[in-house]
Amino acid sequence: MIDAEHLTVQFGERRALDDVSLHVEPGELVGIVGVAASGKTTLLKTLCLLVRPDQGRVRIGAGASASSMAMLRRPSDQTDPSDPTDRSDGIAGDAPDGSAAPLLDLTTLSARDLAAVRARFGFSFQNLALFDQLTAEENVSFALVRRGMADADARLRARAQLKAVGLESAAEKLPHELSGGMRRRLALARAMVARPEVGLYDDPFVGLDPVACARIARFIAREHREVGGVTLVAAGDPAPLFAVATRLVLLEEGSIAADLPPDEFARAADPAVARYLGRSRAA
Amino acid sequence: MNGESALGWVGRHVLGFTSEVGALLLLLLRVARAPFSRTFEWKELLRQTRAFGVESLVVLGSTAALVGGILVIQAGLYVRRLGVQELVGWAAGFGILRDVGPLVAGLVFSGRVGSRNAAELASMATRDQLLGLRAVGVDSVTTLVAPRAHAMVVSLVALYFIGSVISIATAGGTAAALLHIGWPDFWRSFVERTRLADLASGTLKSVLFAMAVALISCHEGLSVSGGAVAVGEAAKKSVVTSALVIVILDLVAAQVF
Ligand SMILES: Nc1ncnc2c1ncn2[C@@H]1O[C@H](COP(=O)(O)OP(=O)(O)OP(=O)(O)O)[C@@H](O)[C@H]1O
Ligand SMILES: [Mg+2]
Repeated sequence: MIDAEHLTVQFGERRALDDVSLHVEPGELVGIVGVAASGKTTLLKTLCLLVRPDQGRVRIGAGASASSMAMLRRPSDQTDPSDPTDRSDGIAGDAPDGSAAPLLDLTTLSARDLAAVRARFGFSFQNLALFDQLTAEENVSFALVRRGMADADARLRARAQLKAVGLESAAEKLPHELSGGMRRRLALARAMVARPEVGLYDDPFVGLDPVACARIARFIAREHREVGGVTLVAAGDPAPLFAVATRLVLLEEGSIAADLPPDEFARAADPAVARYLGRSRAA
Repeated sequence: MNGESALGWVGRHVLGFTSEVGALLLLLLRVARAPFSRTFEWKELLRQTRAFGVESLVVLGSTAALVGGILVIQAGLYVRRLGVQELVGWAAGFGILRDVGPLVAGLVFSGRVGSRNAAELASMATRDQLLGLRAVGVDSVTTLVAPRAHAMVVSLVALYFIGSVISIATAGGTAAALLHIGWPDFWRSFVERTRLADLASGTLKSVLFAMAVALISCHEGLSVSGGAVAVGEAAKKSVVTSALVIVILDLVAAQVF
């Protein structure tokens, strides 16, 4: 679960996010769409505090209360080494006594606690941000190793994740030896490998043809089903998301202009949506 | 300065300068603390030390060789006129160990290693790689910046030693060839009159210069915004600022030790 309230982000004169509130339940796959510079990237980065909001707060389910709180108290890189992907504690966020679990306000956390909480997020960057000197496999296993997983286990897990995105034959390659589409898939694999409760994928479709886009959308949807967490996918062009998203949120100049199920969104009854679809089709 | 008063201009630059210095001090603090963190990359420190050292060795070696020769050629004038042959070894050693050695090593290092370091960090920053680290809960200062900064100190001190040995050797060679001072005489003058304090002073200077190059190049690299142009800009700013700071530190150090 992730809950954002009244997020406002100001870059100098430019208000990139303007009072955005968004609540996403586990199991939802939400598409964040909008024209260029509408604030999609800023929203995703703010949701995991890679950008600190000037106003508003972001809360996630303290969910796993036991493990995530324990993790909070432990130093950042000391998550349970036996199995960092073990999320059997559930994501529903119910405390053992049955009352609603408290929410964790990310905006109040110290840098160290935030680093620990980031283990619950997966982020793929619009401009990839792959580590140039590491092979594909090392790119994927990096976070696992840093969180204390044994090298061999991390390798296995990374291999499996690479296979899941169709990159098993590229494991030993460096990012610059891969095609654009392969790099996109590698960035996704890296973001997904720790089975994040909150997956944030920033425009994984940029520069890809429709077939490759559909393929990426399928990977995201499958991973989303398997993990059962929250997934947000930003996209300039909504087309690949219609088939997989449970909701589409339209950003316009940093504000939410529409928040609809995909079929309704596609019908474009809403004027803002009609305007946007008209533009993105023309483009 | 269109429309801005002179006072405003000065104020803005003083403020800018103060905040830069503040940022540098903050970075220094984080870099200094990093080796005590469990996540400090000792392997990266070793790798970078070797890379930085090897990378600068040829340029530094040839510069140092020339500098040793030049020192003696310049001294030659006075040596002949005043007939103080017995001072040549000392003069070369003193000058090289205390002044020219650290200065040359520092400047070569800043041009060769500092610029590349700034460009590398800048290119990582502009392509979100540093955010990518943060996104997986990894602090880029402890894992990426600090090992480089510490490696710079180690390799610059090593380069200072190597460069000094080369300079003194060519100084001795030049003295023999031009001033007809035999190697034993040169060596005796060097050994008898050079003090350990000269070496200590030079080492201390090298450490200071390395810290300056490390902090400035890392800071320039980390604080870029923009695209590929910004990367080149960061490298350039790093070299210019480092050279300036090295010369200033050299002047200050000359007064203090
Ligand atoms: N670090 C930054 N500094 C200054 N301005 C920024 C920064 N990041 C984003 N902006 C501005 O904020 C606005 C929103 O940018 P953002 O990257 O979130 O848009 P976007 O919807 O992701 O666009 P695109 O589809 O092109 O990726 C833009 O006007 C952008 O110029
Ligand atoms: Mg974007």
